[in-house]
Amino acid sequence: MIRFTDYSITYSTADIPTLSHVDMGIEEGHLCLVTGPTGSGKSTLLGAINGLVPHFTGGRVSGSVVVAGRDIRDTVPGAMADLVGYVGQDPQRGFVAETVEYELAYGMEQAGLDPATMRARVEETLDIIGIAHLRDKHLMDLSGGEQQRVAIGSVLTVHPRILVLDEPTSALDPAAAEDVLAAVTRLVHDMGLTVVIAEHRLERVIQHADQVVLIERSGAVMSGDPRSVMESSSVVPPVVELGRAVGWDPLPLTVRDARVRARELQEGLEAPPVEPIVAGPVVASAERVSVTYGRVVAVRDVTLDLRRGEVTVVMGRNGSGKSSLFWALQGSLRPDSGAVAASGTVGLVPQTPADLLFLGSVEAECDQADTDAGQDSGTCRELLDEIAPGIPRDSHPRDLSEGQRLALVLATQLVARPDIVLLDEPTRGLDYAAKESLTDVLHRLAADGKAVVLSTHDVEFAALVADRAVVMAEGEVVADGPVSGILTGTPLFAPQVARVMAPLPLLTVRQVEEAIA
Amino acid sequence: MNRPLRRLHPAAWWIWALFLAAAASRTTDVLLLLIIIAVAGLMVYTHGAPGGGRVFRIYVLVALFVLTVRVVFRIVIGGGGVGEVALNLPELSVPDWATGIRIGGAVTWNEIVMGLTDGMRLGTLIICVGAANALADPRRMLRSLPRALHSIGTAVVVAIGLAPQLVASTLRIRRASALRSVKSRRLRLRRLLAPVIDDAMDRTLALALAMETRGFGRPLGQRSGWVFALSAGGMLLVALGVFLLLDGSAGSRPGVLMLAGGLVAAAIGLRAAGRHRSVTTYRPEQWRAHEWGVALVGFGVFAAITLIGGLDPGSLHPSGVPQPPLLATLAVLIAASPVLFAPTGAPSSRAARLRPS
Repeated sequence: MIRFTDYSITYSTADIPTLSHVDMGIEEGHLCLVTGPTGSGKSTLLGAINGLVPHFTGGRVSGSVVVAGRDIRDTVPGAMADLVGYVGQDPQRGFVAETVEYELAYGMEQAGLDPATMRARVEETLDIIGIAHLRDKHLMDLSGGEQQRVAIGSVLTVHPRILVLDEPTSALDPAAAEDVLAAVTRLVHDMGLTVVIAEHRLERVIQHADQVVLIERSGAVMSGDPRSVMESSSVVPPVVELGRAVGWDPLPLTVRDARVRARELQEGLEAPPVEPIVAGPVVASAERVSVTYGRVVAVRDVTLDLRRGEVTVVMGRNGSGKSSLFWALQGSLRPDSGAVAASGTVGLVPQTPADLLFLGSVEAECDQADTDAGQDSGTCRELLDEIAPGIPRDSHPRDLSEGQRLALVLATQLVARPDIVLLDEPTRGLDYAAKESLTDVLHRLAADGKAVVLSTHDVEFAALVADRAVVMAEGEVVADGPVSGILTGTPLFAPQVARVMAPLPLLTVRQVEEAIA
Repeated sequence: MNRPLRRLHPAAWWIWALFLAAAASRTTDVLLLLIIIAVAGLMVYTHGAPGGGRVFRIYVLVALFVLTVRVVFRIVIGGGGVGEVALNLPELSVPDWATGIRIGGAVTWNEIVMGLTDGMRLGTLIICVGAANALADPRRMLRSLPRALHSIGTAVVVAIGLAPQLVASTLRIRRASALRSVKSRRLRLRRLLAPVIDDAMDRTLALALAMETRGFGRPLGQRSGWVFALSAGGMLLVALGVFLLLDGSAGSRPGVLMLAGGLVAAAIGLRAAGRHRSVTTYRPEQWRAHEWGVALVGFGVFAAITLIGGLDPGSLHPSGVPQPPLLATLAVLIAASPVLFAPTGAPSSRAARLRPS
């Protein structure tokens, strides 16, 4: 269906090729997962399928890509719309119409279909994707998961044979991600659609995949069935990591496979005692804090103590009030009732770190942060090198990877030596390696006596990093306690290792290794 | 006449409301203007689109503001009129180079009445446009533009949709700016603007990419020069014709001729240009008998007022106490007749689902 033949591409701003000598095919009716470290060229590979690369992005290409018999060299992305449905990383930014129904029709209007056909296909698509109840809704009023499903529906109406999705679940909470992936797998199974998905978090998609394409940072590409690729891959989901650590062969790819094997492992293992959180004195406390926007209550009666040396993770659906709580703790959002008492300074890394960057180079940003905080010149640069070594000083902040940009903003916030560090969804767009180094950084900050609070949808990351978990829903705190207790408590929040090792409360591969030893 | 369960074509409402505005521009009779406002308000009340009432209210407020400004300006810097003095304001002495400008001084009743009628007329025009907006969302109008103008329509729809997003991202960035207090005053503006512009650029690129992948702007056929000349020339004639008609001083014949000729030329040009586009419209608006009815009522009222003005100019521009001219009042009241026959729009799909089948 899709055939790459000796395909290489070099962007005009780069010296080395982003993809080099790719030779592979994707079968019709398969679900193909594209993975690899950040910046390795996943989006480039996806864009090559409908000709966005190089027609939209530019770049020097050799070799060929042939999709359903059409060579993308001879066509433009617009003319591929009837064959390839493409949904980008942030679907909300790609919406053209006002309401769901007209958004679904947009592609068909461009294709020049007659009104009767359009009418029928909109109805059909509303049902296939399960969004009939959203028909008249304004696109701005949709939740993240709904937006993603509408975006998928809007490319399906022209009946493409291939669906290309670039990180469809990266911004979604676990439940919404499940909804989107369920809709996608239904398309593969019932309609025989060929689907190509790029995703960092393998644990979400790999059990549905027929084929995995792994792109290494060098631009080399490996393609094959999931198990054989996972055997040598540098990026693996926790369940594979566990399998490797305890030497299972063949490697389990899903929680279900691993559970069968885990029974023998569990014999003789004892549940480690749940250790109470050891933390320092309270440095900030929220007392019955409520935040409202007009008639919407974002935070409702939240009481929370933050202690020095403790890493707290705040979880919950999109829109459950996490960000508002952070801004209230930071102090720039005045609560409508209740109060926040802090005996130290607060630093916050917002959900879009780029909002804080405004100068032309990393060095200028660092110097500016030093000046504004009244610190010695070079303080910020030192912090940045500790967090993420090796960022060239003259590179433009917008050219950095997600992880590097996060590190830069974190450094500018740490210059003022805050006692409390808040991070609002820092894991968006981070690969496994970047998450691991972020974990180290946050642990070091906590060891320094700072209170660290972060929000995330990534349960695997939460299990690695946090001592304490707080779950929010509808603006209220519904659970608060040691991370091992909270994350094993509900299936939705349980990380893969915990699901494999249940009923033992083990969350990470390291904990399992320690328990065995 | 039975009313179908559908929405009226937006263009019919716009034609009706704009002709009503044109009729209003032909008179300075305050009572007649009030009747026109009442008719517009009644139509919005009975046939307004969902949320139309809110839109209409904004236009009414703007109209009131314009009226107030008009009257206040007349009182403060008008003056010098003849007739009974109503107010005696202290007059400011102005320097020599500003002779001819008077600030303050005696204000006559005539001045105030003129400010009032002038403001009323302008306010009525604004309210009529507001009624058009409230009766049919202008975005629906854009959707039913001729195919040749499809790209322009898309651009406007996208721009309207992008504005609130831009506001949201500006607010977000402003809040984030509290996290890095910049001491240098020189950098403070950049601190705010750089991320906003970056964000807008990103958004624009993402949107362009999404539209391209969904088939927007696929290669078009060749456009010939005469098609362009015909449509552009037609548009120009339409604009000139409307200008002459509204001005009214040159009589209505040249205006009507230009308008008609321009419309025909533009229609032929646009149709020819549209043949190259393979774009269709989802749920196209329909133009049927009811639409003809509403549009003709609007046109009829305008024609009647123009005719009355031509036969008896004094009846539309009273000099003393305004008293409603009988014929003109009747004509304006006819404008309200769509209340009786125009379809009020389909019930929302949610309501349809709730109804037992």
